[in-house]
Amino acid sequence: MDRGLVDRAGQGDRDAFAHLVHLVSGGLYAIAYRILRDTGLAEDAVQGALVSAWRELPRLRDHDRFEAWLRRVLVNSCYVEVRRNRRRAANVRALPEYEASTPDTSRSVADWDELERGFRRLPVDQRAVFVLHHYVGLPLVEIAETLGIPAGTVRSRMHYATRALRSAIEAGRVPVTEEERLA
Amino acid sequence: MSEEQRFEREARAWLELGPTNAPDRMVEATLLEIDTTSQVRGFRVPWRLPKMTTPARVATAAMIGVLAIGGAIYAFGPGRSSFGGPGSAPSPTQSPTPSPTVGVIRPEQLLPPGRYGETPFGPGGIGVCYGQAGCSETAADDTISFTFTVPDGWIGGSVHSIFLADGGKAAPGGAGLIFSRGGGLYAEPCGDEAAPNIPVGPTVDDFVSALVDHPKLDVTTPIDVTLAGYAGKYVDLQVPSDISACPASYFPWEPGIYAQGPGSRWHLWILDIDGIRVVVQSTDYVGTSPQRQAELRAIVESIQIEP
Repeated sequence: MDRGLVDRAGQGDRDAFAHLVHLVSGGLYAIAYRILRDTGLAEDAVQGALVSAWRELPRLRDHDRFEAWLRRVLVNSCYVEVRRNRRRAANVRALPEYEASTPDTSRSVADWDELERGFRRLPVDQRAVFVLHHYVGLPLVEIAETLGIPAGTVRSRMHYATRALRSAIEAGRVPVTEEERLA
Repeated sequence: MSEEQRFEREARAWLELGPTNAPDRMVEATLLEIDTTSQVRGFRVPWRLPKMTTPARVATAAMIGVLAIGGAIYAFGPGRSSFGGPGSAPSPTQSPTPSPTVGVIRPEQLLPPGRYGETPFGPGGIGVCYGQAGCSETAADDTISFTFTVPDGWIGGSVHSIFLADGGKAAPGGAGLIFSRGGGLYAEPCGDEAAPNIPVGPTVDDFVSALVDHPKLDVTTPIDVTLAGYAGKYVDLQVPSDISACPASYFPWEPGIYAQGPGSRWHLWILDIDGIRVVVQSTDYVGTSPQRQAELRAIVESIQIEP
């Protein structure tokens, strides 16, 4: 990230911040979508995060931490969107809107279906940790620093999320009984 | 390749699906909003939420006077015993007068004293089927809401919970409150199984019996209780004083919470809300201050439930 842009934006330079928006919005949107599993919510979360970031940037003491700070602002914005839209958030079976770029085995597709369903049932804070680790590639300690929470909490959230998702996949592999088929 | 490695590979491949470019309309809308948004004045803010000093607490309490006094009456009023043990289970209580405003609990956010609401079982909230084959989610619990009064010094937690701002949820002095449904038990709470292996039926008695009959859970004798006008059972569950050998965490049932620390005391009001089992769970420790225990009890006693 261009430290000069961050410095200028922190001093109120809107053009510099607009440049930053163009640089970071794709990455933020990718993260928000993967946490929220909804394009509309992800757009609102990113927009909210960027406006908050603009407002609060003068308070950021260490501009070298801009990216980590922005991720934290984004995750908090995701929390807000989940709560704001809890009533209309779909909690039903839903397949991803995007297809894999390469063909895969039927087992993977079935597992991804179960992952999608299981992931949607996770609390958003667990989703955030899971995405930051497995998608962004952050180590757990760095996630803790980014989100400002204890490393033990991050480990616990990751453990809980992983266990729930593995259970979801395993449950999806259980043959459907006649009773369930008729239900 | 181990099952764990296979899972991580699958999860990463699945996460790769999805957009990587922001829609132009979103970027344009953001820039438009920024054009009309002012920046705050620059000053240092701590990375973590600060612990409030006593003078700050006093000042905050003074500012919020009426609500703080209401909380204090609940916390320190006559007849309030300390928390823990069947003898301290709440007696049938009169529903408190509803507050005109109900705040929203946000994770990691300090809660000004006042009335707060949770609707924990709706879409995106706490489910009832984690890892339980043959279980299906029901929409019948989606609208069940809990409102309660929170005094000064509490913070919003994740997963529809609150906990102490200065002591957290952990030992030796933490405390917290969470709502759930109760479900299948782990035969080994201190283990690392992927899913619960003791099926539990849907009623209050099903869950209470499963807890009491579990050979590895330290649970008190259930007593009849009424909370917010709903009948059920009350039990205490004592988390072992040493859970350091647990491979992952101490986790008795799904969907539930893991023990936040050794020696945690779980106070469970297992209620029947028009045929739906819900679990109101408060947690504290022997080391939790009497004041905080009283506050926690007052929070529980202030609960109102809308089915």
